[in-house]
Formats: sequence, structure tokens, C-alpha cells
Amino acid sequence: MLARLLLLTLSLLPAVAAAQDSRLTERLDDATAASVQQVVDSARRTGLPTEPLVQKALEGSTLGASGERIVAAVEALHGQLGRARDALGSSASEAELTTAAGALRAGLPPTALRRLQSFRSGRPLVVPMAVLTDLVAEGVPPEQATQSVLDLAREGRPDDEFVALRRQVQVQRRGGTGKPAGRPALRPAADPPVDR
Amino acid sequence: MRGRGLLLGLAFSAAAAPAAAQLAGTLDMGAGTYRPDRAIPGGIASIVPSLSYRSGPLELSAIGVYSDAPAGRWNFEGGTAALLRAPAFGFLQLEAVGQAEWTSHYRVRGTTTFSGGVRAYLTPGSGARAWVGRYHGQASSLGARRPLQRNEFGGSARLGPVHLALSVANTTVDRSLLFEPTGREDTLSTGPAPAGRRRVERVALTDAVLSGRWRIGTLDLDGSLGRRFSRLTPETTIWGLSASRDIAPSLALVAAAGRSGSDPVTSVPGARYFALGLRLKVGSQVAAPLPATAEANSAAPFRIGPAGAVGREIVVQVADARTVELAGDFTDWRPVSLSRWGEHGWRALLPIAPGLHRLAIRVDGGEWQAPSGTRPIASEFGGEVAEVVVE
Repeated sequence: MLARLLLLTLSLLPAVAAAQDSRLTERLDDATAASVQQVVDSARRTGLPTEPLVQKALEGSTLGASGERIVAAVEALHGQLGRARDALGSSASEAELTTAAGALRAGLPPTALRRLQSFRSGRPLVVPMAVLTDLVAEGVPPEQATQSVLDLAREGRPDDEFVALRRQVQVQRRGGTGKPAGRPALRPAADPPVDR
Repeated sequence: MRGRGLLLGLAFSAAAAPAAAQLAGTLDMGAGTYRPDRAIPGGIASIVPSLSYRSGPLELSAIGVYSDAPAGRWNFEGGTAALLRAPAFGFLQLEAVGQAEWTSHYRVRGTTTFSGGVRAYLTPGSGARAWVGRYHGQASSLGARRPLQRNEFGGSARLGPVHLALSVANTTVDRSLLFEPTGREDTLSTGPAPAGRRRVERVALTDAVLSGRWRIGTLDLDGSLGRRFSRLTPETTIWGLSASRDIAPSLALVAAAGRSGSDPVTSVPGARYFALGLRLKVGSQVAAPLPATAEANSAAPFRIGPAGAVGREIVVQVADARTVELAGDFTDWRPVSLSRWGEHGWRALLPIAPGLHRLAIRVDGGEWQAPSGTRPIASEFGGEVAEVVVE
């Protein structure tokens, strides 16, 4: 019996090893890879997407971050993905959860995401949520950005119209000339010209 | 009264803003104090409507400022501008500019200024921009017309949440000068004057202005600080500060204070002011969408094309580079070398799914950075990356 158990354990070892993401072991030092893998495994057990966590770690590796910083960023993203699933439900796709995590990180309330989801009625949420996040990051007040995106969603507009909205707002807020408007709007009109 | 008519027209147009696709407007109403250089200071009420319209390469804007002070002292300033942008050519973009400004006043004839010209932009990347422009026009004030020309150059950059710009403008105008033994040469006249006391001279002044915009949550801060240099007028420090805070989607509190310089082109005096009021956002500040056009422009600094059989085409414009690499969540953050594409373009074909993606480029083996034309964001790992929405 003991021999069978030992044999079974030995036969499973390669499978356990294979479950580790080779991209992590190739690009990260052993300790960092193991810590990230723990977070990835935890996400997998709870049904959260794992690929965004791996990508976050790889981003840190490419940008030359320390192992400590990489693990912290991956753990933070893990938490954000959990909150995104709480907002959108377990039927949300990986891409939707990833984008929703970014939206929550940008300061959007979960209710805004739920309303958007209800208006889209089964259609993909990725682009509208990404645009909404982008608008807020661009400086549009969250309520205003949410209302604009919800209006489009309510009217059943296609994804490219959301992208067009984002582009227009960027042009407006950055100013077409690249120069900020330093002239305050609320001010008195000047007095008459002086003739001496 | 013309000013009042224009004001009503602008306000009416602003009220109609929601019906148009790229129309945005504001209506500021407030009260404050006003201390003109050569008139009686006192309380003042202001109404300031503004409109902007954008459609493709065309941009139109208009602003009106109407003020009413005790004893029937009302003034109006109006301004309109039209910009027409040519397609970008690499880092270079040209823009035709036309501007008209006018004033109306309670006791004397107003002023008008028309000018037109060309502005060239250079966009080297990372949100930085430089420009140079030249304009010609004519100013009318106190019954006389004066040809004017203006040259300007400047640059702008985004430093985190702050957008900064520095501009230097040199204006020359032919003027009729009044000689006064007291040496007060900044009071100029084109009206009737005793013979032998007037002569026409070319007046030049230079304005150097640093301006910035900073958004903190729901608070927008705008500021400018400048210095006016002129042989004929005393050097003047000009400045303006305004803050607006959203209290509802279409309503904001706004406060403004500053010191405007006298305008030797129109003889309008300078003043110090403070005002507090409400801003009504008439029409949507977030415009309704139009069909995508910008990314179809092959000269855009950065673009990701539609999905094809072998992936999406990514093109980034980088001048004077030996190598350009791209990494993102769609390459497992492995650097991918881009191939030369045109004069300053670099290109790759990569499979990218729709959605929000993070990416960065590296030029000549340097630091990873957000490509020009994207919104740079600070990475948790230091440096900057870009987040882009792929349809």
C-alpha cells in the first residue's frame, strides 16, 4: 500500500511541476517566481483569472523591478480582481474582470460597472469599461464619465463609438493646441480704451 | 448694445449645445471686485459664456465676457477663433488660425482686432510639444486702424497631473504716439490731437507667459504668470488664477483672480480683479461620439490597426532612432523589435485581443516609456507605460 502511494506521489510530481507557469520560472528569480506562483494558485482555486497576474509579474521583470515589488504588485492585482468579480459576478470573462479591476483602481464605484453591465445585456463589457476607465484617468469627473458611457450603452452603440468618445475627450481636455488655457473664464470685461 | 446682443446670441447657442455632436459650452456667472488702472474701482457682476466646436481638423471657439458695474458702467469683450489642422507629417503638424476679438463699452466706441496666420507644431513625444507661429492682422480702436503682426513660440509638456506651457509672443503695431512732456508715453492716441505733437511709430511688446492646468479630483486649477516687456510701457507682471470644483455633473463653483496687462494694441487698460461664481456646463463636456477618424491617420504618433489574418498592425512614429522595441501584455512583456516603416515610422504585426492593454516602447535601448500619442501612466514598477484601448 505504501509502495503504491509512493509511486502515485512520484508520478504526480511532474504534473505539479508542469502546473507552474514556465514564464515565471524563466523570467523571475526562484523566490519571486514561487511567491507569484502562490498568488496565481490562490487565484485559480477561487476561480479568478490568473493570466493578468502572470502578466503583471512579467511587466515587473521587463521594467527591471525588484522581486519584492513584483510580488506586492501581483498581490494587489489579485485583490482588485476579487473586487471586480464581486461587482460583475462569476459569469464575467477574464478580459472583463481584468478591465474592471483597472476601473475600480481608477476610482470608479462597483455600482457604475453593474449598471453598465445591465445596459449591455450580455454584450461584451471590455471596451466600454476600458473607455470609462480611460476617461476618468484623463480627468473627467467619474459621475460625468459614467453618465456619458452609460448613455451610449443604453442606446446599444457599438464598441467603436465608445473608442471615438474617448478620443474626442482626450483632444478636448488636452487642448487641440497643446497649450493649456491659462486665461480664467470668470473675469470682468475690460474697461474702455483710454484716449488721452 | 451690440455686446448684449452678442451675449444673448452666445447664451442661446450654448443652450442649444446638446443637440450637436462635438459642441461643448459653459456659462459662468459671478460677482467680485475690479480695479482698472485708470478708472474707478468697485464691485462688478460678470456673465461669461463660452462655446467650442470640433469636427475633424476644424475647431471653432467663442467666448464672451459681459460685466456690469454700478452707474451703468457695462463692458463687453467677445472673441472667436477658428483652427484648421493639416494632417500630421511625422512630428510636424501645421495649423491655420483665424481670430477676431472685439469690445463694446458703456461710454465710447469699442475696439476690434482681426488676425490670421499659421502655426507649426513639433511633437517629439511623451506629451511634449513645441510650436512656432506667425500672424498678421489689423486692430481698430478709437476710430483708427493699425496693422499688427505677431510672432510666437512656445512649448508644452505634461508633468504627471500637471500640464505646463511656456509661450513667448512678440507683437508689433503701428501707432500714433502722443508726446507729453511728463513722459507718460504709454497713453497713446489715434484721435484728434494738436499738430506737431503726434508721430507714427512701430511699437513692439513681448509677452512671456508660463501657464498650467492641474486637476485634483473634482478640482480644476488654471494659472498663468507672465511678464510684459515693452520699450514704451512699463514692464508689467500679469497673472491669473482660477479654480473650479464640480458640485454636480453640470454645475461647478468657480473663483478667479488676476491682473491683466494693458493692451497697447487696442489701448484697453489693465486691471486687477477677483470674482466668485457658478459655472453652468451647458451641453455635454463629454461630447457625443463620431465615427473614428484619428487612428485611420497613418501619420498618427501611435496606432494599432484592425485585426487581420496575421494580427494587428502597430505603428509608432519615432524620429532619429536606431532601434525601437515594444513590449506589452500581448507579448508576455518580451521586447519585440519593430521594423522601419516610412521615414520615422516603426512597425510590427502582432496578435492583440480587444480590450485594455498595457505596453511600453524602448528607443535605442533606453528607458521603457509610453509611446507618443498615448496616455502615459506611472507603472507600479517605476517609469511609465501606456494603457490603450483596442477595439
